[in-house]
Amino acid sequence: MNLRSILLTATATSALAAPSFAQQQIDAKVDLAWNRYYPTEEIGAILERLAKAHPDLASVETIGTSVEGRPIWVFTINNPTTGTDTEKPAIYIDGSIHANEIQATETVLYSIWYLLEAYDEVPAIRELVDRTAWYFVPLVNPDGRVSWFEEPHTPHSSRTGVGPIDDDGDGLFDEDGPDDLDGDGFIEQMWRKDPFGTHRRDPRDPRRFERVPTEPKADGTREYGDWSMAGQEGIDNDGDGRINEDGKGGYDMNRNWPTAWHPDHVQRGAGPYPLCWPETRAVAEFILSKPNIAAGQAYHNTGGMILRGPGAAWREGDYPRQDVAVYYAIARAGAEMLPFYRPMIIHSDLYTVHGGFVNWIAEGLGIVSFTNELWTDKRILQTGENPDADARQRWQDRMLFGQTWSDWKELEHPEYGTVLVGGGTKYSSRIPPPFMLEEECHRNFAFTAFHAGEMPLLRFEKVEATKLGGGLWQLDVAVGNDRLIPSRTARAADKAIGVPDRLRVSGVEVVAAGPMRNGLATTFDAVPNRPETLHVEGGIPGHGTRWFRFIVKAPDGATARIAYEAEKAKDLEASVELGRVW
Amino acid sequence: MHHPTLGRRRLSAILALGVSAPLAAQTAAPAPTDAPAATPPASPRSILDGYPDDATLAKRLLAIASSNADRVSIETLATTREGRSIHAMTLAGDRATAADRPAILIVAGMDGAQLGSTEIATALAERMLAEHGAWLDEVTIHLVPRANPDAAAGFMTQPSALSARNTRPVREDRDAAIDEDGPRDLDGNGVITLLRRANPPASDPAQWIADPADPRLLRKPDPLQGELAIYSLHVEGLDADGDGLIAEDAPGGVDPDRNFPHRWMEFAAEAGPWPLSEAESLELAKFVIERPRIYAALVIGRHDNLVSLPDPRPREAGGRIPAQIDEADLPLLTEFAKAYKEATGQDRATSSDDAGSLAAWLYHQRGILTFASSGWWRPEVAEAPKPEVGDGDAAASDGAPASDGEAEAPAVAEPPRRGGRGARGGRGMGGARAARTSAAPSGPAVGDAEQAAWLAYSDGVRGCAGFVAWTEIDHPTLGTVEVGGFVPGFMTIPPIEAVPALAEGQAKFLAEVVARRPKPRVLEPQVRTLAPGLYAIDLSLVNDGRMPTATAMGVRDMTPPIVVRISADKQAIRSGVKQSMIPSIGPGERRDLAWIVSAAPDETIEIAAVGPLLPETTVTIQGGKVVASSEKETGR
Repeated sequence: MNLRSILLTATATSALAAPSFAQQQIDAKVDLAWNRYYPTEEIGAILERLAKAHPDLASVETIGTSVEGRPIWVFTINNPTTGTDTEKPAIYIDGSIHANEIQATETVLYSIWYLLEAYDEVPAIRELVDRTAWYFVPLVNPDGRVSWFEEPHTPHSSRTGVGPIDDDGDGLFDEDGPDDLDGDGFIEQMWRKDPFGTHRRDPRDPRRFERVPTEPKADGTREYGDWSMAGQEGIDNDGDGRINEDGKGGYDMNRNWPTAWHPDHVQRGAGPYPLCWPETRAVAEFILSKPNIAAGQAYHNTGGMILRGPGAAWREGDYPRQDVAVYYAIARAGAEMLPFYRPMIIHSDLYTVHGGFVNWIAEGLGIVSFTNELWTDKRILQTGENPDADARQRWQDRMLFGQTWSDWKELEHPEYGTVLVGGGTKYSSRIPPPFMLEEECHRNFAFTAFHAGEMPLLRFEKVEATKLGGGLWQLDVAVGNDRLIPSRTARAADKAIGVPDRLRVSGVEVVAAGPMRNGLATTFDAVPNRPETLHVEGGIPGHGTRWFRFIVKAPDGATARIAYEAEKAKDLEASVELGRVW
Repeated sequence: MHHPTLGRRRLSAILALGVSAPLAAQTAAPAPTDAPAATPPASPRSILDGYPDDATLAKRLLAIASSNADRVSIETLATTREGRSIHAMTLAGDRATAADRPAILIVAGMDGAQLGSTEIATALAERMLAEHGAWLDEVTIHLVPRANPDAAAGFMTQPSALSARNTRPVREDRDAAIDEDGPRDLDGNGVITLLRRANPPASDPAQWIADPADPRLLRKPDPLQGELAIYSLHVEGLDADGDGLIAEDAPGGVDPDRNFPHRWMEFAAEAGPWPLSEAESLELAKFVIERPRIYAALVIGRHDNLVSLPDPRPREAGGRIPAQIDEADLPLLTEFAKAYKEATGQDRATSSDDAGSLAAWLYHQRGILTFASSGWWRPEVAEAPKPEVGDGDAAASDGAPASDGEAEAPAVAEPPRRGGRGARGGRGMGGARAARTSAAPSGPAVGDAEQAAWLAYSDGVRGCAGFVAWTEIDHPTLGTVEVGGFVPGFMTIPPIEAVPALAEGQAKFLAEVVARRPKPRVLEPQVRTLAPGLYAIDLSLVNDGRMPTATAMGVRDMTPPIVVRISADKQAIRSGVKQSMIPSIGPGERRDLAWIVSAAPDETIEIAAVGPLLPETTVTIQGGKVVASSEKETGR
C-alpha cells in the first residue's frame, strides 16, 4: 500500500525531473561491479569515490578506529536542501560486525551506491532520500574482515575482532589457532588415517567420505573404515596437547552491547564489559549522538532471516503489542521481497543472545530494528527446500565449476600422523556465489528502503480555531502519521527513552490544553501544568492520528503558532489566524 | 530492625569509639523529644566539621606516599569531569615485587556523602604503614580512598541527597530540558533538606502526618485509626520549569556506584547511558581487570554484606546468575562477617540495593571476595522513642522508586513522582535486597523507629546538627511551607573524632583478610621408577589458607586458573595430560595430578605450576628423582 503511494507521488512529481523510463538500470557516476567481494582496503576508496561523485548528498567521516587502527567509517546520505540530517527521521544500517560475514559490507555499499546513483533518475528514490537521512557503517569490524580475506579461514571462522584473548585460560594469548597445513590459503577439514576409522572415501566421488556401517557383517565381524574425522586444519602450536584451542581474537562484538549484556560464562564472547571494544564503543557513541534514528538494520549471514528481538525469553516484554504490529508489518513486506527469507524472533526461532546490537538499539533505544541473515542455501535450488549434501555438491560443481573446492592432500601431521586436508574453501558456504551477489544486495537494499520509507511522516490533519467568546478560542489540532513506524515507539514511551514529542502553541495565551481521546470527543483531558507545551509520550502512532485541544486567550485576528516536535520525525509548524479557519 | 537486647553493647561501642565521657553521660538521660537541646542547635553543616576538601586530601595522600617512598606508590586513576584526580595508592613491602603478590583492594568515597569512608580508608593506610608493616610483606594493598571526588566536592559545597552523582548532564524527568530544576537551599542553611506543605491543594495530595511521638518526624497516616494526611513532602526546591514537580531534574549526574555491569539498571537516569560509561567507574574497573592477583576487596560505602548477609536465592534478571551471592560462597562470607563484627563491633548497618555497584561487580564479574561495609553506623544513644506506626516498609512500598533506596534517603532522596506510569528507575530489580534492607528507610519517609533513633542521636550527641527543625518560609510558588528534616550525610558521616577508632576496627578486620588469604602451594612430587626409563610422577597441590584460590563466582567467571605443565614430549607422556587447569582449590583441599612418562635416564623433566596466587613453582625430575625445585614469589 505504501509502495503504491510512493509511486503515485513519484508519478505526480516526475515531470520536474524528466527521468528516463526507458530502462531500469542505473546510469552510475561511480562504476562498481556487484558480482564481486571487495577486499577491506578498497572499501575506504569506494566510499570516498561515492562521496566525491555526489557531494550534494553524501559525506563520509571516521567515528573511531579499530583495535589495529583502521578507521570506522560512517557514510551519511542527506539532502541538505531539504533540511539537516538530524531534523529528519534517519535509518542506521551496518554490516560486518562479524568478520566472516563478508557480504554484509557489499550489501551496505550497494545500498549507498543505489541511493546516490538513482537519486537523479528514480523519482521514488528521490522522494525517499529527500525526506529521510541515512547513516551507513559498512564495516564495524574492519580488522576481522581483513583477517578473513588475507589469512587462512573457513566460512565460519571467525566472527571475532583481533584483540588478543586468552580463550583457554592458560595465560597465553592467541597462541594456538588453526594452521593452513596444505598452504592453499584456506582452513579446511582434516581426516586422520585410522585402521579403526569410522569413514571411508566414497568410491563414486572420492571427495566425499561415507560412514562405515556399525552393524556387523554376515560373518559377525565388524567392518572399519580407514579414516576418522580430526577436526579443523591445524596443529598443537603451544604443545599443550590440544589443537586450535586459542586462535586470533576470540570474542563476539555482537554480544558486547549494553542491553541485557551478560558476562562470558553466560554469554560466550561478551567481552569483559559492554562496549569495551573501540569498534562497538565508536558505533554506540555515534548512534547516541543521533536521536533522530528511527529505524535500524544490521547485516549478517547466514540463513535467510529477518530477525527481530528479543534475544532472550525474559525480555519478551520489551516489545509492546503496538510495536510488534509494526515489526510484523515491515518483516512481512520483507518476506515478500526476499525469497526464502523468514521473519523470525531471535531468542525463540534462532538462539538466545545477550548484549546483541539490535537488542540494544531496539530494546535499549526504542528504534525499530532488524538483523538480516543474508543468503540461504534455499536459494541454491530455489524450491524452498535446503539442498542435501549431494545436491549442494552437484550444484557447486556445475554452477561454480569446482571453484569452492580444494582437493584432499595427504600430509604428515605432527600429532596425527597421516592426514588428509581439504574440502570446501571459505567461499563454499554462507555467502552467495558472485553471480548471485547483486541480486542479494538489491533485494536487501530494497527491504531497507521500504523500512526507511515507513519512518514516521507527520502532518497536521487539522488545525482549527473556534471562537468561544469572552476573548477565548478553542484550537483543535490533529496530527497524523502516514507511515507505519510511530513517531515514538511504545518501548521508548515505556522506558522514558529520549524525549517525548511536544506540541507547542505560542503567540497566544494558552489557558488550558490536553489530548482528546478521539477525533469526535467533545472534551479533552486537561494537563495540570504548562498547557502551552503538551508532552506526547506515545508520539503519533503508525497510520494513526492524535487529537489535541487548546483553550487560548487572544484578541480576534491574533495568530497562534503551532509546532509539533518529535525526535524521530520531521517537525511540523503551522499558524492559524484566530477568526479564520485554516 | 531495632533490637533492644543489644542496646547495652552498642552504648559501649560508642564509648569505644572515643566519644567523650560527658557526652556519654549526657546520653544516659534521654533528651525530651519535643524539646530539643536548650542550647542553640549546631549548624547542620557542622556534620562536615574536620573533613578535608579534595585539595587537602590530595596533599595528605601525596605526603603519605612521599614519606613512605619505598613502600607506597600513587597514581592518578582517572581525571573527573571537573578535573579532579582519582588517586590510587599501592602499598607493598617492596615496590618492585608489588605486582607479584596477592592483593587486597580497598575503595572508599564512591558516594559524596561517604566522607567518613574516605577518612577511614586514609587512616587505614597510615595505620598499616605505621603499625602493620608486616602485612605488606605478605600482600599488596591497592587503595582508592576517594573514588568519586566530584560528588564529594559537590556534597561539601551543598549537602544534598543526590550525593553520589558526578556532573554528567542527565535528564531525570521526562521533558526535553536537562538539569533544569535542581534543589535550592531555600532556608539558606547550606544544606538541602525537605519541604513540607500543610493542607496542600488537591493537585499536590497530602500523604503524611506528623508523628505524635515526635512531631518533627513524619509518617503515613493510618486511615483505619481515623488519621488523615496533612502534609505533602518535597525536596527543598522550586519548580523552576513550571512542570508541577519540585526539584525533579537536578544538575548531574551519573552515580558511578550504579554504573557497573552487574544488575545495571538500564533505564535509571543515575545508572548512566551504558555500564562503565563514566571515567570514575571505567578506570577503576580497568585497574581491577589488570590486576588478577586481587583476591579480596573491601568497599566502604553505602552497601553492606557483613552485618546483614546476602541471600543466595534471588537470581538476577535472566535467572542465570545469583543476584547477591553464589550459595557456595556464603559460608566463606559468613566466616568473614563474624570476624568483621568481632573486629569492629558493628552490629547495625544501613544498606541499599547494590544493583550496578562496584562491590557487586567485583564479586559477580571478577570473582573477588568482596566485603561491603558502611564503616560507621548509628551509635546507640538512649532508648529511642517508640512511634506507633511506620516500620519503613510502608514508606518503601509507596511511591518511591526502587532505585532511590539510598542510605540517607530519609533526609531527602527524590521527590515523590507523579509522572504517571513508568517513571524512570521503576524497573524491577530482579532480586533486589529489599528483604534485608527493611531497617534502612527508603524514600522520603520519616517516622519509623530507626529514624527516631537517629533523631535521638542528633539531639543527644550531635547538638541537634542532624535534623533541621521545620521552619516556615515563604515559597515563591507554594506560599507558606516548612523546610526541615534530616541533614543529608548525617546518617553516613561519622564525627571526625570517631574515625581513628573506626579505622582501627577496619584494620583488625583487614588483619583477618590478610591472614586467611588463599595459600596454594605445590607439594614435592613422588616419583617412582616403573621400569628403566619409565617413571610414574604424582604431584599434589594444596591450599593452606582459609579461602579458596578462587571463589565459586570466580570459577563461573573463569578467573585465571592454576596451570600445571609438564615439559615431557607429548609422545613420551604415557598417561596424564601435558597441561592441566585447576580452577580453584578450596581451603584444606588438595588436587592430585599423575603422569607416567618415558624418559632417558639423563633427561630432565620439568613440571611448572603457575597461578595468580600461587608462588610460581618449578620441579625438575631426572632419573626417577626430584633433583631441583624452586618457588618464586610471583604467580603468572
